[in-house]
Amino acid sequence: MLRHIAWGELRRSPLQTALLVVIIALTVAASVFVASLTHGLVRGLTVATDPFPQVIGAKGSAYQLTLNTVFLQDRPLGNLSAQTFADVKANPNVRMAVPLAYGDNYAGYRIAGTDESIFAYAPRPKDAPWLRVAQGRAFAAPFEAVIGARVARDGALAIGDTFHSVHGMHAAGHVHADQTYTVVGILAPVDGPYDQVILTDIRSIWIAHDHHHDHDGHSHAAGDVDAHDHDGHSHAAGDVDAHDHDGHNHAAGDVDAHDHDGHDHAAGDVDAHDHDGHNHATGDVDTHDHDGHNHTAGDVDTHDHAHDADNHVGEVTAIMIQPVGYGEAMRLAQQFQSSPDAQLVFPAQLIIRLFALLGQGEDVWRALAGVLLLLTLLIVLFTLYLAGLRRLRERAVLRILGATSGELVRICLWQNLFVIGVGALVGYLIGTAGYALLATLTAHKTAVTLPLTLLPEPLLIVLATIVIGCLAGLIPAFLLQHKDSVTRL
Amino acid sequence: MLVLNDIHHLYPDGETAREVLTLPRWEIADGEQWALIGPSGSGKSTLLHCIAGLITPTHGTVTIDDECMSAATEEVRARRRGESIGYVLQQFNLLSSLTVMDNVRAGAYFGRTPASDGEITELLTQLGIAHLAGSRSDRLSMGEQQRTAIARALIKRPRYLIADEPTANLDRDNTKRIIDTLLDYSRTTGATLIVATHDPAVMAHFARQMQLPQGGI
Repeated sequence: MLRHIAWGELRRSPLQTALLVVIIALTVAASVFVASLTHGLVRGLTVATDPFPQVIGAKGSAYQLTLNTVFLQDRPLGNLSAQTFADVKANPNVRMAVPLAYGDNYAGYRIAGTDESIFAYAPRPKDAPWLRVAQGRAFAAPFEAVIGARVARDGALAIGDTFHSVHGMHAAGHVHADQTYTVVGILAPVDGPYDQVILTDIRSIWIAHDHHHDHDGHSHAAGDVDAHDHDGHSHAAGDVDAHDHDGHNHAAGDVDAHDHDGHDHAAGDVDAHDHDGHNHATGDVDTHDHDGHNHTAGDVDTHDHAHDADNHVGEVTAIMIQPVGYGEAMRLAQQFQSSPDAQLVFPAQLIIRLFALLGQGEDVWRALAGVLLLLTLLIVLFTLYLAGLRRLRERAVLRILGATSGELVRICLWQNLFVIGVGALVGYLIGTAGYALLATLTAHKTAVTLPLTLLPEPLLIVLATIVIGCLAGLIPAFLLQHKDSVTRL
Repeated sequence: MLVLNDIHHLYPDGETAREVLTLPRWEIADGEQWALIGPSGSGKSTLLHCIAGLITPTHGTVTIDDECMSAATEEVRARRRGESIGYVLQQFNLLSSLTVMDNVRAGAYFGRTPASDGEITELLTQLGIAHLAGSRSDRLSMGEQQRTAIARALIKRPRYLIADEPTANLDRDNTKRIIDTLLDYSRTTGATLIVATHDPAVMAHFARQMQLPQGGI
C-alpha cells in the first residue's frame, strides 16, 4: 500500500516525474558511458598487448613501433637487416623469434608478412598458441594468405578469394597488380588488432616490394615489369625497394620483367627456373646477378641462377620475441640498449605509461562525474521535497488514517527510489547502449577491440547512485515528516 | 469511555498566543452519539484533532479507555488513531491520486484491519458508490467524495467515529444520507459518534449536544 500511494502521488505529476527521471538518467548515462569506454579501452589495450612481451624493431619511436606492430596502426619504422633477425633468432635468451614485415594493405586491412612459426608462437612458454587457424589452413607458399576473424566477419574476404595488395597503409594506394594473393585460411578470434590482419608468407612482402626500387637514369611505367636491362649487378639480401642499376629507374610496381644482360625475365616469374649453377634460398628474390639467364613470369623462389648467391633471409620490420624467461628477457633488453640500429621494447610497459597519463585525466573526470551526480541527486531530492511540501494535506490525511511517522518516511523513500532507481536503470541502459553502439561502429576502424561484456564499474555507478540517493533522500523525508501538516486540513 | 479534562489550546498569533479552545470537562460513554456545536472559530475542529491525537492540547488531558492520549508518543497516538478512530473531514479528505477502492483499502491498511475486496465492495454498495470503485477520487462529486470518506472510515470498524462538518457542502438529500449512515453505524456496532456541525438540521438528529462558544466556553 505504501508503494501504491508513493507511485500514485508520482503519477499525479507525470511531467515532473518524467523530468526528474530524465535528469538522473542522462547523468548516469554519461558516467556509465565514460566508465565503460575507459574500462573497455584498458581491457582492449591489455588484450592487444598481451601477446607481445617483447618486440624488436628499428631505431625510432618506441610508441610508433608498438603502434605499428601491436596495434597495426601508424607507419612502420625502418627495417631490420636479415643479419639482425638471424642474430636474434640465435640469441640464447630467445625461445622464439617471429619475423614481421609490414608495408601493404588490402581494403585497409594490414598485410603482415611472417613465417609459419607465428602459428606456434605463444607469449609465454606455457601459453596456448596465440594465433590459431580456425578454418582452412596456414599459408604454405608466397601469396597465400590467412585472414583475421574480423576480416572474414566483415565480409571483406573468404577462403578461396583472391586479391591484390595495395602499397602503404591506405586502401587507396598503389595496387600491386602483379601479385595475386589467395586466401587459404581464417584465424580464430583473438579479440585484438590481429583480428583485422591478413597474414601471409613474408616472401610475399619481399617480392611485392622488389618492384619499388630505383634504377639509374630511367623510369618504368607502372605495370612495366618485364623488360629492362641490368648490367651485371647483384641485389643485396632483402634489398627490394631501392637499389641502383646502371642508368635507369624502375617505377613503382615495375617488378618482374626486364632485360638483364643477355636474358629476359617474364612477368611474375620469380620462383622456379634455371640459372647456371646456383640456387636461391627461399625468399631470396632479388639478390643475384642476372648474367645470361631469363626469368619467367611468376617464377620466384627456388631456381638456379648463374650467379653467386648464398642463403639469405630478407629484411623484417619487427621481431616478436618469446624470451626464455624473465631474467633472459631483461638480459636481452640490456643487449639492445646499446644497439646502434635496433631497439627492444616492452609494449606492456609503454601501455602502462600510457594508462598513467590517461589515468590523470580519468581521475579528474571521475571527480567531475561524482560532483555532477551529487548535484543531480541534490536537485532531484530538493524537487521531491518541494513536491512533498505541496502534498502536505495528503500527508495529513494519511496521518488521520493512522499512518505512523515511519510509514510516512517510507512513502517518501519509495518515491525517491522510484525516481532515482528508474532514472539510474534507464541511464545505465542508455550509457551501455551508447557504448555498445560506439564499440560496434568503431569495431572495424580502431585497433583496440572494445569488449561488449557486462562491466562491473557501470553497475557500481548505478548501485551507488541508488543507495546514495535513497540515503540522502532520508533528509527531505524527515524534514517533511516534521512539517505541521494538520493545519492544512 | 472518552474523557476530556480541562482542555486549553493556544495558537501562536504574532508574538503572543491566542486561545482557540477551552473545555473544562467532557465525558463521553461508549456508544453515545454527540453533536459538537458552535459557530465558526469556536474550536470544534481543534477539539476533534485533540480527540484524534493529531494535536496535543496546550493544557489538559484526553483519555481514551483509561489511556492518556495527550501524554502518549506520536507513534502510539498514530496506532490508536488507526485502530480505533474513524475520522471524516469536511472536505478534501481523500487521497486524490488513488481510486475510490484504493482509498478504502488505505483505510483498512492503516487501521491494521484486514479487509477483502469483497468486503470493500459490499460497503461501497451499502453507500451507493460501488459503481465508482475504479474512479479516481478527484473526479467525484462532493457527495460521492463524502460517502467514500465514510466508507474509508468504516472499513476498519472503529470504536470511535468522528466527523467534522461532514455535510457542510452537501444538499439536503445527501446530508440526510450521510447522517443516517453515521448514526446507523453507531447504533448497530455500539461505536461512539461525535459530529461537529453548525447545521440545525444535523443537530436535530442528536439528543446529546456539546456547545462550544466563540473562543471557547
